[in-house]
Amino acid sequence: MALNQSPLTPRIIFRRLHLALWLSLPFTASALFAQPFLTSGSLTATWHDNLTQAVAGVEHLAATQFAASLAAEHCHTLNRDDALLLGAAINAEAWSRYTGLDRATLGGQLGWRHRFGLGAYAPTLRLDLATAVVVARESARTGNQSTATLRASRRFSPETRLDLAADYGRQTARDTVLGQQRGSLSAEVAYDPNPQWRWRGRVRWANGDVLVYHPVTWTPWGWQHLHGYGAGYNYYAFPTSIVRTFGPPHHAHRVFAHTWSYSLGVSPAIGPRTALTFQIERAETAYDAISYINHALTLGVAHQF
Amino acid sequence: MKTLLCLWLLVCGARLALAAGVVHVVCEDDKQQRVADAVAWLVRADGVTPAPQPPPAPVTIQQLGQEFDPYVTPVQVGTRISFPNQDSVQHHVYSLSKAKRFELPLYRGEAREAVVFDQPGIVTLGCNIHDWMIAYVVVLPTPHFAKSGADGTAILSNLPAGRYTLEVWHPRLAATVAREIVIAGADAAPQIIRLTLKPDRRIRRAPEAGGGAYR
Ligand SMILES: [Cu+2]
Repeated sequence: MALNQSPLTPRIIFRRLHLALWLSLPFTASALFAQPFLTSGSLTATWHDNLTQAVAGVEHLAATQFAASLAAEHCHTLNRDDALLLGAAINAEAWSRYTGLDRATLGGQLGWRHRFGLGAYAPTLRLDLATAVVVARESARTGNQSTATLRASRRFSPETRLDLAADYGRQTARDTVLGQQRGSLSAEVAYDPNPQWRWRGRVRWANGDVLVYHPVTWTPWGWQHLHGYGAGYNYYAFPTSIVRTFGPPHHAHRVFAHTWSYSLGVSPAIGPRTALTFQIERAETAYDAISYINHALTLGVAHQF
Repeated sequence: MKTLLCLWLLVCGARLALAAGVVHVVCEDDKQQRVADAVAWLVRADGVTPAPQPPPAPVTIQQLGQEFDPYVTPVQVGTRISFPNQDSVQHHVYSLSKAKRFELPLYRGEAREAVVFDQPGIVTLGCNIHDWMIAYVVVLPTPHFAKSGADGTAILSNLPAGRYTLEVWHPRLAATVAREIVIAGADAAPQIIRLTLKPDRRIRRAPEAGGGAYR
């Protein structure tokens, strides 16, 4: 992996984290076979309307992402209020049109949960460090990803729960332009009018790298944006690479942007351990004076074994 | 002489048992659906209710499949309850209820010791690890009690004749339902109790795509 040995502290921290988590992975992998682990699986289909993060409708490319995941989590209680959570997850993603985005991830997770008191209504603080190897069909996208998440949760009643989360994620890729770092803050309210139904609303603000794609054409002056969109903007100030993910060549520009996203979900339980999920999300991303919108529609099913 | 006395006592006992009343308490909701897990009990309205006689052996509430079983357990004041954990994961059973506050920190297999429920009242049990786990212990100051089964019927037997206050409790009831009944003969008329149930307020267990097992 062509990682710069720059003295960036987060980078060094994440590398060490990787190592620690990988060392714990054989242990967590036994999760899938041993009972003291809670194992859950999910299947989802998510339709994305703007994979290229394009401003103009003519450059929007849509596709459906199918994902299957299996996760196991072990709760090792240290005392009444603290628990260590050890997890392993395997994920496979397949895309309807742009198969270059297909990928599989295998990762481990280490968490610490502190409860301020006893019982389901005590506020909870949870820190999770996760890392995964990412193998993508398009080898330029292969790399690894790490995430640190801090979450504060409070259940106010059997029906209502509030989650506030901050996370920071970093993803490397063989083509360094395709690697990204991003942080986010989010607030989520879950409302279960009864044990069968759950409504969920989330607001999230994210800041960091996004990959913006533009179709390009070869000219005597080099690759130029096909439709001229963004011509007034100096995209070449950002790390840029050529990808064939979408068929015709596209520029991938890694820009630094912030995103506001809003999602609403409903999840009917179809059994004590099985639930369906429907979710709609709208995201507005902006960098300098440029902004674009994404919509995502998810259908899924999750089961706890 | 001793044998004769024993025989006489036996006959008297049998006659007493024959005279003892039985009451069928039928619990229905507003849609006339039978309600399981309702607890019915009787206290004397015209005399002294016999003192509770807790069983010598502890009553069991097990944890199986990360749920409490049974969901509702009526007992007499002074009953000991043990909480064996049949799961391979640890549980941390607790109650914050006024009638009995206790905690059984993290264990697998048999719990260390049985808990004595020495005050009447409703005790809500939870698990500090698995938020969805919930169960109720109804601690009663009377030996006359029963829990309704799937057919909604709770059968109270061995009732000496007299006036009683019949009370019914259910986890989804705002307050206990009470009425006065008279036990005269061996078989009293069934008591049909209409319960106005609140929505089920148990914490949902079913996971969601993308959510962890423990939150
Ligand atoms: Cu538990």
